Amino acid sequence: MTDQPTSEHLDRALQRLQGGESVAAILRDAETTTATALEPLLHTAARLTALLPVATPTAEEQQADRAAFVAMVRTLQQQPVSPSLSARLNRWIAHTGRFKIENRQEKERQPMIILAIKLLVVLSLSLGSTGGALALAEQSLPGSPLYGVKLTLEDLTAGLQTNPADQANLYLAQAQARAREMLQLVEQGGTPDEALLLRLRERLEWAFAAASELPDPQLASWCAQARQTLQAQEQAMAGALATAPAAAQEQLLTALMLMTQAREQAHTGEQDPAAFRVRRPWAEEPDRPAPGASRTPQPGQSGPGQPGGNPDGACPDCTPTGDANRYGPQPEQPGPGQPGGNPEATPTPMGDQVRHGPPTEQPRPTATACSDCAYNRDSWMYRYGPQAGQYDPAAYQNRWQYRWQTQATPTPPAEVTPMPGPGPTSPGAGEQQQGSTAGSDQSGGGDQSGGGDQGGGGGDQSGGGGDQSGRDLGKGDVGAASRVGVQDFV
Amino acid sequence: MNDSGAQEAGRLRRARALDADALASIYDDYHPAIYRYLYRQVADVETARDLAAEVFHRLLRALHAGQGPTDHLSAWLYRTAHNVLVDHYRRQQHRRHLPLDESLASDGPAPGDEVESRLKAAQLRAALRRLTAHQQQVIALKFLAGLPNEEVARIVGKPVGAVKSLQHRALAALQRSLNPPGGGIV
Repeated sequence: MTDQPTSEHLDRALQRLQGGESVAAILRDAETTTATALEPLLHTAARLTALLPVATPTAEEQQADRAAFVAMVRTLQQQPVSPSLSARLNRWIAHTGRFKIENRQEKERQPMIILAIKLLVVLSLSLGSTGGALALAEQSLPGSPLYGVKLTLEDLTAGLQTNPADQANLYLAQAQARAREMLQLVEQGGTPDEALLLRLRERLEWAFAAASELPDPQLASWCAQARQTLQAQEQAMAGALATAPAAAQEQLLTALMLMTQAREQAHTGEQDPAAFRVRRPWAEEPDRPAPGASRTPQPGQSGPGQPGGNPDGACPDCTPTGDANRYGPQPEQPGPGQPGGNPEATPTPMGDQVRHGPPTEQPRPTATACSDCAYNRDSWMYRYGPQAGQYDPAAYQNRWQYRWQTQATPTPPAEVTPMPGPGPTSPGAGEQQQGSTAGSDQSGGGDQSGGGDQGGGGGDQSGGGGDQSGRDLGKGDVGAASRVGVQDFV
Repeated sequence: MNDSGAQEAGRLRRARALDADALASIYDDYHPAIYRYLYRQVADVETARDLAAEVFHRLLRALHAGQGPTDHLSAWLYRTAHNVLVDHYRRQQHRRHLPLDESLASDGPAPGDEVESRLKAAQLRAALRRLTAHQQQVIALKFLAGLPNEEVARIVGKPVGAVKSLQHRALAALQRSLNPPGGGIV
């Protein structure tokens, strides 16, 4: 039996073999059992000595090899040192690790980076969602939750405008937007509310107020463009009126008359800028918001003439003129058909369209009590306001349909289809009824004597009777409609 | 560190800076040993010259790239020589032939004992190539380069005990390869 030699035994034996001893001498010193196993291994190792002889190259070849090596050294010396990628990476890691150890504040940087990334992500998502919400708000209609956002954005945009021309264009565009919203609501089977009408009128007046600050040539040019724009809008509204539900026709008619008034005013500015400024109904209009201000009546917000609105609007610094008071009576003044009002008054909402009569021929009354100033500015609410039971949409529609059918031929006042008498005929009528008898409308006298002035409130400061004023207004209204030209709508 | 060690470290430091004199000195000191080491395995002068040149070429490229040996230059050179040799064998396998021993391929007549010795050498090299890479490396370093166990251990990156075990298994495998059970010499 043989014992396998350990690696140590073999290594010692190999060392002796490499030292020059013979295999036999090595095996003699080894144990018998181990020697048997060592013998073939030692003979195999001894056979390897046959590989030791080496054929060396010639001296020239060796010199050539050395010269090639030195030449390579020279070449590499001229090349820029560029550590390998792994070397650079290792150095960077080593440097970063050392830096972190040496500067313990570096540990705080990682959370800050993470926080910054989180903030970036949140801001991106917020801005993205905000942009989406703004895009949705831009297409929203009254009654939509985003409609308030749309109005606020419009106010903010208007507040950024400082140039009167830009302001005028922007307000006119916003008025167009209100009109489009009205049409869209009607198309969807809805009914525009009073707040939307208020916003429409408000934007129109602000547009003209801003335009009045323009030089005459620019004003005339702007008015020409505005007239065309308003005319197109009128046509759209007139087209929608024929197919609108009955409940929406009332609001559409009111909006149509507002557009007509505005177009007529634009026509005036186009022809005579000076007259535009004199006659502009917002000559003392402080309502136009200053840049940056937001006065948009938000949904649910009460406006003048509405419950919760400003009932008196005391205006000590106001000097109302016939133009300023064209919208008629004070809210607290009883109108025709109301206790204390003139029962014979024939109010018409078109009375203030007759404001193109000579306004200065009659002495303008001096305001002594200006509690109606604010309401004069917003008196359309009294004329077209939502007083229940005081509006007869059928009468309006018949009147407008009549005008369309007659192709806007200037019609003598006597031939005009009479408006319904005092009583619950129209929003405007209701308002006029309120103020017709008190005779406190400071513009009423001037309007009346003006032969159809725009002081269509029917009030008569001189006490000439609100009824007379109302009749005149009715005539003036027709005259104004004739001047506007019914053909414009057809 | 003794003087020779300090001098070797200084020379290596200058070599890492691509100092021509230091590199030439290294070449002069190590090239003959590397050439012999390679020749004893490939048995061809030109192949051994090419492989030795490749070893020193790799040394220069490594130093130029900021890598290469930081100490134990000899170990780095033998390790590189082994890798170069492995690559050479791999290329030879792709060529599907073994190189002829140049002495056997010579035209001139050779004495009978010399022929026999060369045949035995060829058989040994063929048997060596049948070993594992680590076994080949240990046998070549230990018996063809004549390095001590400690140096071999440093080159192969294993402990000395592992080197002795490798040496033992390599000789046993080589013995079995040269003396198959059926008898005769391969």
